[in-house]
Amino acid sequence: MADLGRGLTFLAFAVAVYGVVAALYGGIAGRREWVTSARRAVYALAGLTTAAFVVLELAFLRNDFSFSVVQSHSSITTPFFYKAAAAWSSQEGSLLLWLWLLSMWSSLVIFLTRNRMRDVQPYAIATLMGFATFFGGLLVFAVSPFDTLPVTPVDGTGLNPLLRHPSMMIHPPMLYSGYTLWAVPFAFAVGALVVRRVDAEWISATRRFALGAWLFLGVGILLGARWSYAELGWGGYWAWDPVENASLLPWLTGTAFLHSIMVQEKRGMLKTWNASLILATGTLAILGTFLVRSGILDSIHAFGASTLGVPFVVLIGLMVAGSVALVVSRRDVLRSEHKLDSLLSREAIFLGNNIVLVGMAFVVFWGTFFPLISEALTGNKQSLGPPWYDKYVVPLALALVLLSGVGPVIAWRRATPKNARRNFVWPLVAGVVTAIALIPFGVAGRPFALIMFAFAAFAIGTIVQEFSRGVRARKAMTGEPAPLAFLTLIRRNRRRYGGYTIHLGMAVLFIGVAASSAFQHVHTVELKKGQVTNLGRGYTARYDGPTSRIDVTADGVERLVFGAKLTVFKHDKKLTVLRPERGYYPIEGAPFAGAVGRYFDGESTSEIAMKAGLGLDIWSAVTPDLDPTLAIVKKGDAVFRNASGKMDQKAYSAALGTTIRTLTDNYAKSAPPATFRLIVSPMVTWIWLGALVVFLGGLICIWPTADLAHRRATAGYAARVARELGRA
Amino acid sequence: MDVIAVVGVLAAASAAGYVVAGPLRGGRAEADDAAYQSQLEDLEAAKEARYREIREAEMDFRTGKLSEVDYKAIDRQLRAEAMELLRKLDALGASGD
Amino acid sequence: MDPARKRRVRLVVALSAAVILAVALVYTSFSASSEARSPSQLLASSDLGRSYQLTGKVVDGSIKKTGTTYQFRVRDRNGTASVPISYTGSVADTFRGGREVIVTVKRQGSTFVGEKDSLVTKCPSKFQEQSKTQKT
Repeated sequence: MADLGRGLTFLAFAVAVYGVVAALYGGIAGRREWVTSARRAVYALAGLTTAAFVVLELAFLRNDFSFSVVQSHSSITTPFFYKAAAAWSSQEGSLLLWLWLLSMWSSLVIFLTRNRMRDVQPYAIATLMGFATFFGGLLVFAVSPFDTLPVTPVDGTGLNPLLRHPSMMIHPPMLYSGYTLWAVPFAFAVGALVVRRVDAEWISATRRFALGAWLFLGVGILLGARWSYAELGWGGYWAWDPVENASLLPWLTGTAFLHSIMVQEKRGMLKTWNASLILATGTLAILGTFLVRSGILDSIHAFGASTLGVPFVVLIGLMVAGSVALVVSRRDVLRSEHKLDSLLSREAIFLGNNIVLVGMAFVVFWGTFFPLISEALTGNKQSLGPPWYDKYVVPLALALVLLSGVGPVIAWRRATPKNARRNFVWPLVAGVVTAIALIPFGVAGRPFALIMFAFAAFAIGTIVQEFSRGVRARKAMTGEPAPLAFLTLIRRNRRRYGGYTIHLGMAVLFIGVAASSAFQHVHTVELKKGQVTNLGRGYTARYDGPTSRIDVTADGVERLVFGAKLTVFKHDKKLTVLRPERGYYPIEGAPFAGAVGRYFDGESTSEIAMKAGLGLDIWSAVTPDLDPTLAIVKKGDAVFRNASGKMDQKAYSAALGTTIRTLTDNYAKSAPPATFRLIVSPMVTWIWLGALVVFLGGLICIWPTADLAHRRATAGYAARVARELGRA
Repeated sequence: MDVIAVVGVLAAASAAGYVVAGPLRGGRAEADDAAYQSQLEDLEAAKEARYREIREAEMDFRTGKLSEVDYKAIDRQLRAEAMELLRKLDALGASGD
Repeated sequence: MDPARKRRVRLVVALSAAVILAVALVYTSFSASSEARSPSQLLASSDLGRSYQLTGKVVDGSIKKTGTTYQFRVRDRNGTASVPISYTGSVADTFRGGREVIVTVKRQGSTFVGEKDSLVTKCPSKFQEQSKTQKT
C-alpha cells in the first residue's frame, strides 16, 4: 500500500512538471492544444493526489502501522474521527493535504474559467503547477508520508491528546484551504501581467477567487482563536504568536485588495498597487505555510527545525523576485487611467481603508520578524510582546472601524456634501449616545475601549440606516412589502449589502474584542475545599470539592479525569455550577514507564468549564494537585515491577485495575487544594457572533448572481443605452 | 513491491497519460483567436462594470447620498462611458444583446 | 492651486506621514523589545531588573508547585547550564519536564522571576524525528 502511495505521489509530481512545461510551451508558441493538455494535467493531478490521499487515510483507518506516520501519530485506541484527522497532523501528511487542496482548487478554477482569459490561462496554469511541482517535489524527494518501518509494530504512539478536539482537526484544513486558495489569484495575476492584460476581465475573475480565499482563511483563523479560548488552559484567543500573525498577514493584505480592486474597476486607478498587493498576499500565504514548519521564530507552534526551511526560502525568494520583476517590467500597462474625482467619495474612503490595513500588516510583519531583523542589525535577538502590538494595532483598528462607518454614507465618484452631512446625523448620535450611556458603567477608565464602542455604534448606525433606506427605496420603486423588499434588496445588490453585512459583523467582533480585553478579570488562585473566592463584578466562586473518574473505551482506559466542582454566585445568588477537569492520558507504547505511573504521568489536557453568555463568560480551568497521589503511585510502580514476572496476566491486570480505580477514587475523597484559573470576560460571545455575521456577509458577496435577472437587467439597459445612442 | 501497487500505479499512469495526451492526439491545432477573445472579454466585463455603476449610482441617489443634480450628472457621465464601450464592442463586430 | 498640484501636495503629505509613523514604529520597537537569551547566556551576564525572553527546555523533575507559584529550572536546548525560574500565571497543559518553553523573566537576586502569563510551552513536536516514546 505504501508503494502505491509513493508511486501515485511520484506520478503527481511528474504530471505537475508536465503541466508547467506544456502550459508554457502552449502559451509561448501559441499552440492551444498544448494549453488544453496542460489543463487536463491539472485535472489529472487532482485525481492522482486524491488517490494518494485516500491511500494515506486508509492506512490510518486500517491501523496500518507499517506506515511510519501512522505509527507515530495514531494508535489502536485513537477514536475513528481523530484517526482520519491524524493524516494531516504530521509534517508529511500536511504537505500532502496542501498539495491535494491546491490541486482541487486549481481544478475548480481552471474548469470555471475554461472559456475565458485564453491568453492568461497558460501562465496561470504554469504558476499553479509550479506550486504543485514544489510541494510534489518535497513529498517525493524530502518528506514522504509513505515511508515505512522495517518491522511493523503492533501499536502506535497515539495522537497527542492536545489535538483531540474537533476544532483543532478542522483548523488545519480550513487554514490550508485559505492559503492554497490565495495561490489562485496569485497565479492569475502573474498570468495577466505576463500577457499585459490587467483589465476588467482580470479584475472580475480575480476578485471572486480572492473573496473565496479570504473567507476560508478568515474561518481558519477564527477557528484557531475559538479553539485556543475554549480548549486551551490559558483562556485567551489571540497571543500575537508568530504563526498566528503569519496567518493574519495575508488576510489583512487580502482585505485591502478586495477593497482597492473595486477602485481599479471604477476609476482605472491603483493598478500597480493592486498587482503588488495580490502578489504580496500570495507570497505571504506561502510564507505563513513556511513559518509553521521552519523553526526560525520561537513560537508555540514551531515544531522544531525541519529540513524544509531552505527549499521554502528559495521558493519565497523566487516569488518576491519574480513579482517585483513582473510589476516593474509591466509598469506601462499599470499606469493609472484616471485620478480620484473627489476626496469626498467612496473611492477615497477605500484608499484610506487600504492605508490602514497595509499599515496594520506592516506593524504585524515588523513585530513578527523583529527577532530576525534585530539579530541582523544588532547581533542580539530581540522580541516584541503583545503590549507592543496592541499599542499600534489598537489605534489602527479604531480607524478601520470608523472608516467602515463612513464608507456606506458616501456615494461613489462624487458625493453631495450636503447629503453626506445630513446622513451622518443619526449614526453620529448613536455613537455619542453610546459613549455617554456607557460612562456610568466604569468604561471611562479604558478610553480606547470606550472609543471603540462609540465608533462601532456609529458604524452599526450607518449600516442599519443604509438597510432601512434601501428597503424604503425598493418599496417606493416596486411596492413590495418590507420583508420581501429586504430580501430582494440584498439579492440585487449583493456586493453592497454583503459588504455592509461583513462590516456589521466586524463591528460586533471588535466590540467583543475591546470589551473582553479591556475589562477581563483573571484570577489564579489556590482553593481548599469549601473555600470561596471573589471574581469581581459581584461574582464569587466556591470550590465545592474534587471530582474524579476513569474514561474507558472498548480498547481500554482512555484517560483518568480529575477535576473540581465549582459553584458560581452572582450577588450571592447561585448562578451556575462549573466542572472544570483535567484528563490524564496513559503513556502509550512505553515499556519503561511504571505500570501504574504511566496512567498518571502522561500528557494531560484541560477541559475548560465555561458559562458563556451575551454579557459575559465565566471561564474556569483547574490544575489538580496530584503530588500526594503520585507519591503512592511511585510505590505502586515498584510493587508491580517486582510482581510482573511472578503473577499470571489476568490477576496482574485485575490488580492493576483495582489499584488505578482506588487511587482515582481516593483523589475525590482526600481533596487536596487545587489551583484554579478563573476568568470573567465580558462579551466574548460577541466575537464569535460577529464572525458568523462576517461569514454570512461573505457568502452573500460570493454567491453567483442569478443569470436570468442579470441578463434581463443588462438587456434592458443595453436597449436603453442603445436607444440613446441612436438618438444622440 | 506488491502487485497491487504496481498494477495501481500503472493504471493511474495510463489514465493520466490518456487524459493529458487527448488534446494532442487530434492532430489539428485549435484556432488561436486569443487576442480577439481577450479584447471582447475585457470590453464585455467593462460594460458590465459600467452597468453596475449606473445601478449603484441610482441606489446612491435613492438612499439619499446624492442630490438630484449630482446624480443626473454622474448618471450622464456613466452612460456616456457605457455607450463608448458599446461602440467599441460594435467595432469589434460583436452585437450587443 | 490647480488640481494636479493639489494632488501632488496630498501625495507628499501622505508619504511623509507614513514615513514618520514608520520611523516611530521602528524606533520604539528597539526600546520596547526584550532580548532573547538562552540559559547559558543569562548565566553569563544579566542586568538586574531588565526583561529577557528566555528560551530553553524545562529540566526534568525540577517542577515544584507551591500554591499558585511554580519553581522550575530551564536549561539550554543542547546543554546542561540551567537557571532557576519562579513563575505565577497561566501554564499550558503541555508544560512538563523536557518541553521547550519561552518565558519573559527579570532577574531578582539569584532567581529569575517570570512575568505573569508570559510562559509559552511549545507544542510537543509533531514534526520531529521519531520519538521518545519512553519517558525522558
